[in-house]
Amino acid sequence: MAKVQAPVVISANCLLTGAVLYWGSEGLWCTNLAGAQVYDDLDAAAVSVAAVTDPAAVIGVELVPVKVSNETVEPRHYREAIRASGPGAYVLPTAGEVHVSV
Amino acid sequence: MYRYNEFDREFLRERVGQYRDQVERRLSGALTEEEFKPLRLMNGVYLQLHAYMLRVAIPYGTVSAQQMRGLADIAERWDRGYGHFTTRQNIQFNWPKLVDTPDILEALADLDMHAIQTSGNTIRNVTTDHLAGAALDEIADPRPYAEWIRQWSTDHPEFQFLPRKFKIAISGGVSDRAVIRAHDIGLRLVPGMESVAFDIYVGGGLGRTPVAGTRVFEQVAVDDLLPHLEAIVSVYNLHGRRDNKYKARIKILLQAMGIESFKNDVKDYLKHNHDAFDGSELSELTGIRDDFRMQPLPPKDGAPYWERIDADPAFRGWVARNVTPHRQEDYASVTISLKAHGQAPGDATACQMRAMADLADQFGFSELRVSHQQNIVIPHVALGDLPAVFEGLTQQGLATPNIGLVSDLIACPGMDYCALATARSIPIGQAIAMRYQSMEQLLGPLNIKISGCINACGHHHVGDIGILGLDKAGVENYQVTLGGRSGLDTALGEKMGPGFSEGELMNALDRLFDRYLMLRESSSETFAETVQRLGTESFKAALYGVEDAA
Repeated sequence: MAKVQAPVVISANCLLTGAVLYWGSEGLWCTNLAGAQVYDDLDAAAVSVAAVTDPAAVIGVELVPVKVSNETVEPRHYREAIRASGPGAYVLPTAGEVHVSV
Repeated sequence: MYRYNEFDREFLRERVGQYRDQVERRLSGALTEEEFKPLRLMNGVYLQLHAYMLRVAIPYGTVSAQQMRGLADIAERWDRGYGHFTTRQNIQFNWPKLVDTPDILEALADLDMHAIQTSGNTIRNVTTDHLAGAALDEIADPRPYAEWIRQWSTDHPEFQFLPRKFKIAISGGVSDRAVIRAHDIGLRLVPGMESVAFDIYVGGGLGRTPVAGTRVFEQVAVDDLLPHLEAIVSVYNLHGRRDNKYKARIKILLQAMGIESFKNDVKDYLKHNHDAFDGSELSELTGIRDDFRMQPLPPKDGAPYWERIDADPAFRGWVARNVTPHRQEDYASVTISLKAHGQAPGDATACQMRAMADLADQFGFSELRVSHQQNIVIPHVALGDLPAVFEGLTQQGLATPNIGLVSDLIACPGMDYCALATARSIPIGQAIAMRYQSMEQLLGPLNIKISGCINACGHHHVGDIGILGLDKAGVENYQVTLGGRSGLDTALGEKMGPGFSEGELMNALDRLFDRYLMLRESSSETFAETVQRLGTESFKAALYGVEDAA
């Protein structure tokens, strides 16, 4: 796993749909970064990665560096921001909500 | 068009069945992702940033109206109602679910289509001139040979695990509209001793190490084409590097071996591989030629065209930009712009796909082409039918009169979709198209090509203006190249200097275009011609807003 800086969230893609997922604070995968569990400790995050990686449900599990301000979680890198928000709204037709069941 | 026979259909049915079983085993946990990934890729299924992506092969960009309608159905039933036509003359669906992909492949097979060899280190979709069979300057129709090569290369037992992917393009015109020198092998049909022959260019490619292909063999007879291709790819398969994927393309091998040494190895190989070609392949070619043989197109009253062209400036403007003369003078080729200002280049909705199919059925002998410039072409339209085609396209937002202008730009999907991208391409293209909409007629012919990473799917090296998006310390940064060309005189653009942020890029282009308008000798001197005449120094100074020392 690439060297990353805390704080981080755990992200993956859904095996069935490919949708971007985050390990949520409620102990389930969710599609919204706002619902992601934030880890200030990389060791704790690594332990969680091992625990939540289910190859029959998700692929490409990785740690994503974020910044937290006023309880809002934002990715540090623009690539992750695009992963979180989806492609631009100029794409025809407007992309709707991804329906995921894991 | 080539017509599938029962062998082709049975082959596809078997492949779909195999893939369906592979998906089931992946979902049941019997296959790990590591085991499954190469299997899905062999069927064109990628994982991108937000979803899976299915890349469907459109052999040499030729698609029937019925197939286009089928693609629209797939877009609606299993995707989000649109598809993306690519610079490789294919179509990509950006949102399929893995569990649906076997059904999509089955639907494609019902259309005589597939996604085989649209990924992986194999010989990919053979591309060609989107005006093949219609162009005024055509030496011979390249499509029968493209189909012949497709059949030879599909599921070729020796070439499924090459050192790296392998791309072949073929051109049949005096002008090269297939960018053949940017391909691993570029084939050019030339007049030969007996009808036609091939000049074979090897070792072209863009990407991290851009190289224009070199003509390695000249005047290769049709009978010798497949033996030559087999020998070239075999030498590459044997000697190409597998230890470093950035050094694995044939262009690197050609540089390492030297052209003469490479050529000698190919000739040695040819001495014994001729036995593998017993003449049956030539019989196949005869059959394929029959499928593509064109009769003279039926005469049709041209009066509606002449009446409309005088009376309607909008129609006149569209004809001037989007209609190309045909080898039969009462016909024309129509280029349908998938570049309405502000649109993602190359995207078409299912509704638009059906409209294009309907127009092809009504006015274009049910045939369409995908161009590497990410537009759609109806190659054979009677002049008298052009007004009706224009009206049909206008109703669907498909009559933007911008072919060859600034907004007819090429852009790869970039970081909006692609997992390999280092920056976004589509919004840069959108911003350029919107910003220069009102002055693009003034600027005249000008091609801009945008890639979102060093892999150069947007062909930025060969654009009049090339834009390459990179990640510079966590910020999107756009490098500009000038002076690229994509014909037989292919030239790689010259990198101008440090890159720009998105906002800076637009200001830099403002200055660049002002400089061009100031320096051109007349309104008929294109941007490319002015850059070629004067060199890039003055334009570089304009880009960076510094005094021109020249």
